[in-house]
Amino acid sequence: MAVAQRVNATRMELLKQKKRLAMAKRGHKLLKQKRDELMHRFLELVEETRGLRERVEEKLARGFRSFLLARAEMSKEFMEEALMTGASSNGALRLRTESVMSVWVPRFDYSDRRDIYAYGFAATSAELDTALTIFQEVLPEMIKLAEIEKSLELLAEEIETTRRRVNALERVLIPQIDENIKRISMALDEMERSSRASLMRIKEIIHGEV
Amino acid sequence: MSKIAIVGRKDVYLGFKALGLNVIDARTASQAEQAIQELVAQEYAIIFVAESLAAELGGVIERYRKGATPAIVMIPDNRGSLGIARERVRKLVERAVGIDILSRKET
Repeated sequence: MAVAQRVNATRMELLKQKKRLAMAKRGHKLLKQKRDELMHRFLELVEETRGLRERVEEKLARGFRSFLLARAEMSKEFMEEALMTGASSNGALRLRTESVMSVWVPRFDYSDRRDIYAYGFAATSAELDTALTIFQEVLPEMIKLAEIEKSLELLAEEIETTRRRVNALERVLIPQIDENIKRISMALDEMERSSRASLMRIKEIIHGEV
Repeated sequence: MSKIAIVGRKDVYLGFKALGLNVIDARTASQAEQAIQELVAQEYAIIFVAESLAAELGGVIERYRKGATPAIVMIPDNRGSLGIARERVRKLVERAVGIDILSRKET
C-alpha cells in the first residue's frame, strides 16, 4: 500500500475525495476497455503474421535458389544490366497511417504492374525469369509482413503502457483514495460523537443545577 | 510515394532490384547499421534487413521502433530462416500479454 497523503478531515475534503474516486474508477474502466481492445487487435495480428511469415520465407527460399542458379549461369555484367533496366522508378508503394485505438500504425498499399522482364532474353537464363516471378509474387506479402510486424511493435508498446496505467489506478490510486475517504469519515464520525457526548454532559450539568 | 530498400548481401538480393527496390550491399553489422541510418534519413518507408545481419543490429532496430515508419523487417537470405524474426514477434507477444494474461481473465 502506498503512503497515503495526509488530508484534512473536513466535509469539503470528503466530497472532493469522493469525486476523485468516481473519476479514477471511470478512468480505470475506460483504460481497461482500451487495453482489452488493443489486446484483441494485437492477437489478431499475431495470428495473421504467423502464417504470412512462413509463406514469405518459403517463397524467398525458392526465389533465392533460382536466382543463384541464374547467377551461376550468367555473367555478372549481363545480370546487373538485365536487372537495372527494370529499376527505373521506385514507387508503387503508398503509405497511409491508420489509428487503432489512437495508435498510429502504417498501412502500405502496393501495386506494381511493371514489366519486370525488361531485359533481352538472349543473354539471360530461364532461371532468372523464374526467380523474378517468385520475387514479384512475394514482394506484396513481404510488404504486408512489414505492415503487420510494425503494427505489432507499436501495439505492444501501447498495450504495455496502458496496462501499467490500469495497474497504477487499480493498485495505487484507487486504494489510496478509498483509504482517505475511510479516514475522513471516521474522523468526522469521531468528532460528531465527541461533540454529542459533551452536549449530553453539559445538559446533565445544567439539569443537575436546577 | 514511399520507398523500399533491402540491406544485405547484394548478390543475394539483387533480384529485387528489378522490382524497383533499392538494394544496399552490406556484409557486416556495422555496414548494415550505417546503411539503415542513411535509409532512414532518406525517409524510406520499409527497410528489409537480412536476418543474418539483424542479429547484431538490435540497437538500431530498437531505435526506430517508434513512429509508423520506417518499418524495419528481417527477411531470410539464401541460407534460409534463422528464426530471429519469429523470436522477435514472440518477445513482443510476451511483452504485450505479460504475466498478466491469467489474472486478466478474473477482472
